[in-house]
Amino acid sequence: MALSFLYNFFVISVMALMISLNFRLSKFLNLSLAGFFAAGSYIAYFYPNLIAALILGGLFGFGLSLIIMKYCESVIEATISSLGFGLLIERILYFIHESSYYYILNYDLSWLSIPATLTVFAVILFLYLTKNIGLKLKFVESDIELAEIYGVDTTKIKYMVIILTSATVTCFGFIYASLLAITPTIGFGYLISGIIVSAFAAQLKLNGIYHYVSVIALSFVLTRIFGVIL
Amino acid sequence: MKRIAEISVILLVALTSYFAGSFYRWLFGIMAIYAIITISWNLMKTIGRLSMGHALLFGLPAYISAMGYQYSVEASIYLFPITIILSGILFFVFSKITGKTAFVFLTFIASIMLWILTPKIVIEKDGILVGGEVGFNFFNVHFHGIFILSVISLIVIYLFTAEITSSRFGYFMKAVGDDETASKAVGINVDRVKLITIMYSSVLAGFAGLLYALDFGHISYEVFSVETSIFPFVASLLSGGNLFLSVLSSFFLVLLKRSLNSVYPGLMDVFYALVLVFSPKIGGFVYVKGKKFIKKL
Repeated sequence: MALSFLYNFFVISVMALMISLNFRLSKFLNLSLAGFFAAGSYIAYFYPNLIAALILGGLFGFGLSLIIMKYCESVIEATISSLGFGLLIERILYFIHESSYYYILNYDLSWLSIPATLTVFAVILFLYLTKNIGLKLKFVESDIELAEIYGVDTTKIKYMVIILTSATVTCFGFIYASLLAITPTIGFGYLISGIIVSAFAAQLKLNGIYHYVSVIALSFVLTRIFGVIL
Repeated sequence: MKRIAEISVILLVALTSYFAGSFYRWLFGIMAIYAIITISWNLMKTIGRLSMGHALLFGLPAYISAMGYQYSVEASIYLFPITIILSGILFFVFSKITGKTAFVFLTFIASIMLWILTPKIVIEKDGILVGGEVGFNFFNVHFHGIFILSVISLIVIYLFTAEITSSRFGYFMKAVGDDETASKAVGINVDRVKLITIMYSSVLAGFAGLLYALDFGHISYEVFSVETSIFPFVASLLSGGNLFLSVLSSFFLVLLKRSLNSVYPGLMDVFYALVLVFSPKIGGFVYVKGKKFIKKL
């Protein structure tokens, strides 16, 4: 029971962190993360190689960032495009694997979730506490146009954030696959939970690392209260 | 004159479907239902609110009504209008507490939550559990009845909505959609305009949901799917936001769904996804080309 709570807390907090990073730095709500999570789970079933999940996630992220940067001019446009991208991945998974559910029975990678989640927390902490990078990130978060005027390469930051968050979520889909029934819609519940958590955290109006710490704390509280109703 | 021509086109499609056989008669019912959803969605877009959760307005009244139907017919009849009003109020509250961007997110999240949670809803009827992923049975109307009902309702709804959007109130709606602050400054009661529009949109979507449930005699969590929510967005995008063209594009999309899914099940969803991915490009293209086309006409 306690372990199941811990797993849920980890996956929801990571999803919420990735959503927050996308929204605050790349300036859109990334709805394709559900599709990336599902893709990671399918890789775990058919080709159990974490590096493959990482590379594929990165490629998905690169494809998405190209579309976002080339065609989308507003938050809404980018969000809708990302929804389409996620649905496209889901549909492709339906086409390739018609069966409804898959279960991984011969191995369990869920133990990896603890070091993986702690690594994600540590990386975000490191990036924001490193003087040079942290300052740039906080600058982009608070005012992207001003940051651009002052010479911050915002395009590079946007690309990096989308690619890295996509790769992270795909890897988490891979790690959690052995705990779940694998279907193309597997990531939607976590995505919505993550959005709710980051929306609550946004109401606290904190900046920089404090925001991400509040995301982690709220993930813990909300997982404790609601469990996995989603 | 223009309205007569537009209604004639809708009637022509209906008559063609009628004489093409039973299947096409049934299919026209579905086409009309989706066209009504698109009209409902367009209304909300006019006041500047892009709903990505129209599945909630479409499915919830019929779903709750079907739950009531498991107990008594009266419960079903009472629950339907109550849920329409409540879902309309919910969307109005969303529009009050959020800006244009957050409204998209909130409506999307609300409908997805229903999609995820409704398969978990079961109720006990005569000692047997009903609902869940299977859904609930409902009144069933023969498809001939649905055909007649859908033709009449689509024409009435289209004419009424077209009149509203070109009336004084319609200009208020457009003004609110363009700039709420400026509308307030010139004396428009923004909240009233938004409330009336959202309630009307909710009634239309709820009615479409009722027709859908009556047609199949059954309703399940699938009515809240992402596809239901994105359908009116795609139909409106392909028609450049024009009300009449959005009705035709809804017809076209339902026909396309039949054709693509018969080639390979689920192929239409790939089409939807691709349209969403490239929606900023498609929207601009349709708008520019559409303007040129209308000028030529």
